[in-house]
Amino acid sequence: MVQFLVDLLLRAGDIALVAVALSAGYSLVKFPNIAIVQYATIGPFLAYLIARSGIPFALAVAAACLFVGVLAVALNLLVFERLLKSGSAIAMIGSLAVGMLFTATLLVTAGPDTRHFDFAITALFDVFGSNVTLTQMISLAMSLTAFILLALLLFCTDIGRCMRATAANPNLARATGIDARLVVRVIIFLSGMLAALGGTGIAIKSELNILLGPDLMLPVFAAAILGGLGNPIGAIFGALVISFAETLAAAINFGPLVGQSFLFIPVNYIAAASFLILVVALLFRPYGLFVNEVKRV
Amino acid sequence: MFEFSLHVATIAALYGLLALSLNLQTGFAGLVNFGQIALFGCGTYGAALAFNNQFGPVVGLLLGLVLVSLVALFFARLGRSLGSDYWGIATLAIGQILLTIATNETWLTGGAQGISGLPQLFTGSTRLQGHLILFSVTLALLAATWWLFHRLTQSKFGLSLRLMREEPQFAASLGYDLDGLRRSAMLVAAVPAALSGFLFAHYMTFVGPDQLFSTETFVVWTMVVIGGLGSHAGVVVGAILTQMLFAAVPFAKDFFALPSEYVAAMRLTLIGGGLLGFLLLRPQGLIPEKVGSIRG
Amino acid sequence: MSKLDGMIVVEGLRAGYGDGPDILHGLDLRVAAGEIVTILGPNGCGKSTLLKAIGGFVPPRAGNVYINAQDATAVPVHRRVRTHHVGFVPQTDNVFTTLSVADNILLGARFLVATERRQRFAALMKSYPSLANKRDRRASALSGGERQLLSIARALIADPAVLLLDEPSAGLSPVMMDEVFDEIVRIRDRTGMTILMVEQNAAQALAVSERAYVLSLGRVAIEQRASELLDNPELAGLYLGAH
Repeated sequence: MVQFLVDLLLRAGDIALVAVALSAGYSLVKFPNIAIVQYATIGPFLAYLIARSGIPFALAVAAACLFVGVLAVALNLLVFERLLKSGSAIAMIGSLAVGMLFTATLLVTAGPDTRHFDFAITALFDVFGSNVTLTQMISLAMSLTAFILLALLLFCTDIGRCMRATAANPNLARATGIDARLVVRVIIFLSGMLAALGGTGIAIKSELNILLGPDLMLPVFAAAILGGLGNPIGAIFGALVISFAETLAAAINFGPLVGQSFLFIPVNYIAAASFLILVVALLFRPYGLFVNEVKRV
Repeated sequence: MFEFSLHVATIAALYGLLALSLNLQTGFAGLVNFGQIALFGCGTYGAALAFNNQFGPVVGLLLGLVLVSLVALFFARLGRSLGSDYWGIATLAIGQILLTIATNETWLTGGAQGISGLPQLFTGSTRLQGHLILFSVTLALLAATWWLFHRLTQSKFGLSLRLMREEPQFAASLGYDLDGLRRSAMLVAAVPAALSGFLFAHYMTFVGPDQLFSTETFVVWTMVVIGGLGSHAGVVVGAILTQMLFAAVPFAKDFFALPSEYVAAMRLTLIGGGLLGFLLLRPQGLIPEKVGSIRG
Repeated sequence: MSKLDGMIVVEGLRAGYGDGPDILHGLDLRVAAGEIVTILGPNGCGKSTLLKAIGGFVPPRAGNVYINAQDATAVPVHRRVRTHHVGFVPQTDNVFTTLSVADNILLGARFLVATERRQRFAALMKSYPSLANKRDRRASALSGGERQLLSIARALIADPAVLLLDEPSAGLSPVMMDEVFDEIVRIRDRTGMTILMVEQNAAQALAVSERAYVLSLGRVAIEQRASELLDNPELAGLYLGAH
């Protein structure tokens, strides 16, 4: 049971940060930005590169996140806001193209090989009888800290109130004296940072290669859509639901149901669980678990 | 060299069919399909499954058409409640699910190894002659699809599709059956995609899951955007141009003596750069959609 | 007359949306300090566009807008609250639905120091008990009339010199409508604020206004004292499309 909870939390931590990043970006720039999963790939690659030059890990991660945040703002300004004038689907295709260019760049510069962050100690911790590695703890701590800071920012500060106001009603926000364009930039910057941090969290506890982003795409979209695109806090719940389904699918022994002693869902299908949830969610709750009103036709 | 050119031309024509199909969905009906390659995959796996169970190509063709109709109808059903961007994500997810099934149900699909040894459809006195016949058939099919889609989009059906794309609420208020339109558009568009897959399977004599990666969908997308969304001639030109560029990539690699991951990177750059460049600088494509050219 | 003579001065204003045609064709308008002025006109005459252009949401293609004795033509909307002391109450989507009632109002006075902001907030809560009762509820839970009051309170907390209202009575019940118009007069009488509103509801709006402009096809067709306008035979003709 504890192992189940630990697995659930670790998996949720994987998806949640990037899903929150996607949802936060969507709250102000209304298209699903596929390039966000590439931000999550570039972040750890940069952190890896910087950390190699002898800079402490935490600093390297901070620098990588800052860089990706700035990159996200630049891309939003130069590419996505222009494409969005032709519609959200066009902007989404554009973000896909940007993602492919990132992958191409990574292929040429970093290559297709898998890398590992070196941590001096790879101690195992015993948490109520289940084994947790140091990197898993660090990764989870990074996610939790990021969520708490984000929640504090959104709900307890003036800039957070401005962000929520601008997301709810950009024109009224301008009339109220809020510099909506600045708020958009801040949100996009934050979403770039969160995605980079999320990717780094995944990379430190397993491995780092160019497939990190593409593999994240559907689970992250499933989590963000379940939580209601544009609702960052909802995305965390979405990530928990997705992880719950995935972990459950992996842990349940279906053997007794069909008269065998052991029958587990093959590992390869567990990845497809989130796609299936996504399709089912889109069929029955297209605007998220928490929204009842239908916003568009 | 002739054989290589024939190969590039055949593949270009097969992609041309996929591009025409995607263009009918996206360019006319406004259905942003990110799972286009799944329609193609119905054709390839229809052929492969029939072959694997000792049936002839005719059964394979029919099986492919049945599979593609089911997928197309499911796509259309999903489109009922979703905005175009959400629908795009849904189709991408379905494509991924079908890919997972194709990769893992080894007893049925041969798994990651796929199914090989499919016969050539046409056997002339030489292999080359067989390929020439196949190319001619593909070309004829491309021309027929083009002509049919041209007629179809010039008809009242085409007008209603565009109306659904531009003003769905208005169209519904005029009494257009949007669900029915979406279904028809998906079904009509799915047929050439499955035919393309069927011909491809027998031409390559091999069917495997790596032919169905979502990047292949985005290759078709690049062709459509470069050629011009909503323009039948444009997307076929886009398909030919993109295929020619792709064909040049291995030569460039040899010429500059680049490592093999550069080939993948160059393909990605061509697709991504082509898509992005055209979306930003020439969104109407090489051959823009003619506005108001419907005779109704 | 000097440009500075009047709280709102519009000169030769041409404006439209995006690449579209001009909707306002060289329009002049002037509102004196402490005046309540209504803009009337049939659908499509450009009255809403005019208010949006004065508020800064639609950039002028030619001409100038002066608010509170300063040129506002090229000033971004979000700066105008502070630099030109102007408050804007839109017709639809007039509140931040995901924020609490209190947050909606407080956002209007972000630039004030905390003590002053609290004082003004307390004063507004006293003036609008219906909002005070729901101060911690989400704005999405409010009725149409309450939303209108909330939007006005949000604009008032910044203590503007000029208040722009886009169809304040739209979609309200007759009782709420009276209340909103009465409130507009009360605000002016209490603060001496200059108020410019666009209205469909001609009779009631004119009853509380000093003057009115009637637009037709993007130009001023009539400019008259409110009390005399209803008797003007041209008015009905304009609404019926006779120019």
